Amino acid sequence: MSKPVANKLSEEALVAGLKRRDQSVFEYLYDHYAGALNGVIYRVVQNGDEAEDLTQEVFVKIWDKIDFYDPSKGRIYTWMLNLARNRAIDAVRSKSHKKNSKTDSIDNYVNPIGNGLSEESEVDHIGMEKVLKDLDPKLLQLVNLMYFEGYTQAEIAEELEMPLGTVKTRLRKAISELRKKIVPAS
Amino acid sequence: MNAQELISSGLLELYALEQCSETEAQQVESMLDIPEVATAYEEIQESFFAFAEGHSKAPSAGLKQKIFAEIAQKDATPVIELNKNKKDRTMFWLRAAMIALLLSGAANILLLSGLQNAQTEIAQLRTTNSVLASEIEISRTNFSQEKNLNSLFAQGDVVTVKLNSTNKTEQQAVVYWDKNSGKTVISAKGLPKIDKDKSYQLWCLVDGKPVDMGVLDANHIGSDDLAQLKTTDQTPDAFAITIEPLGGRETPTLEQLMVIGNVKV
Repeated sequence: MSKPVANKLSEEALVAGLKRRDQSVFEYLYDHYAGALNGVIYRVVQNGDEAEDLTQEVFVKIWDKIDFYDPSKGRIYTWMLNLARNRAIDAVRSKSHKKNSKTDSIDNYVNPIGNGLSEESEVDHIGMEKVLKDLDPKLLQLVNLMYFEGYTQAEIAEELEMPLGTVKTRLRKAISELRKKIVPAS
Repeated sequence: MNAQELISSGLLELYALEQCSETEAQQVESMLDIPEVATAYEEIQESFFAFAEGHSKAPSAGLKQKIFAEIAQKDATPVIELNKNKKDRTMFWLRAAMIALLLSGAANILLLSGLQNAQTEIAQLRTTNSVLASEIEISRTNFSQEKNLNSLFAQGDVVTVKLNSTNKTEQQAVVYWDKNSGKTVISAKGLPKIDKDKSYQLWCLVDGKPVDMGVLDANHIGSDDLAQLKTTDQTPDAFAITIEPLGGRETPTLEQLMVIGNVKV
């Protein structure tokens, strides 16, 4: 899997199929994206059963709300991943004991994710796992905070006591590293 | 902010994660058409997707079926859709009804003002019409009087009698008397206006006795029009005009004799 937009169906065909409520297109969507969505949710909530419940919720939401997807604002997978991320982050934040989790978890943040990666036995894309492992842990930490914890660059800078400019530069570097590793030719 | 500044600001990353403020999102969206921005945004999206895929975790085998069961159930009982449609339909009819009401109100106002205009016009036309009718009536009367006078002068044997003032020469009247029919016509152009409670009365003298020949209409005094008065079957010796109380008297007030003229047969 080197390209996010999957092999057979073009993005336009995928969206059109979803909009006309074509179940075979929805099945295609599930087959290609369920792992990524469930994985993202799992990383946030850290609980397999809860993650699957939320994944189900998110897929039903995709089915119901496809008309709200605006292609001018980004890729369909970006939209779906944001639905999943935001739902998972909301679920975590709505739990009372997680009220201050941002601050509490930040020092221990790298380890659980790191462990999660090495222990992960159900990773679909071994290549990508390796990419993440190869990424400078400092960069990976920034992406993790932003992606799974919903931190903004400014919040990361504050929490890690790092200049905002540095956070932005490092994030850009992390993104370009990731990009290079997915599409080595470009 | 130019394209390069936007790219290095980190806003695109936040935008890709839907973590921008509304203002920031609008700024990003206004620049997404710029090719470098679009490329950078595409890279960010792909990288985040790759990152997500790196954390991929296949859900358990039953999840797919659960999801399909849920959407099948939703589609079988599309409560929200129905309500939405019903609401849409209600809104549609509500809007349609309001538009119809407004249109009909506007039409009523137009029609009402049109009606009022038409009624005013009809009233004006009626007035004009009755004015014209009375004018025609007057003209017809005048015409028939003129015709009478014409026939009098054309066929009759008319004697002209000038009536002169007994003391003031400028006061005068002319009587035209037809010997054949006895009809009498007078021109009162030379008579002065008198008080409203007085009338000029014409008399003829037959064998020294005054005979009433009628009262002059106030309109004819000083006018070019000829006035036809009474008819006499006797041969008068003279005509005379006196001033009498309004409407005239049976016998003349001789002190008020204004003009007199003898008939020369």
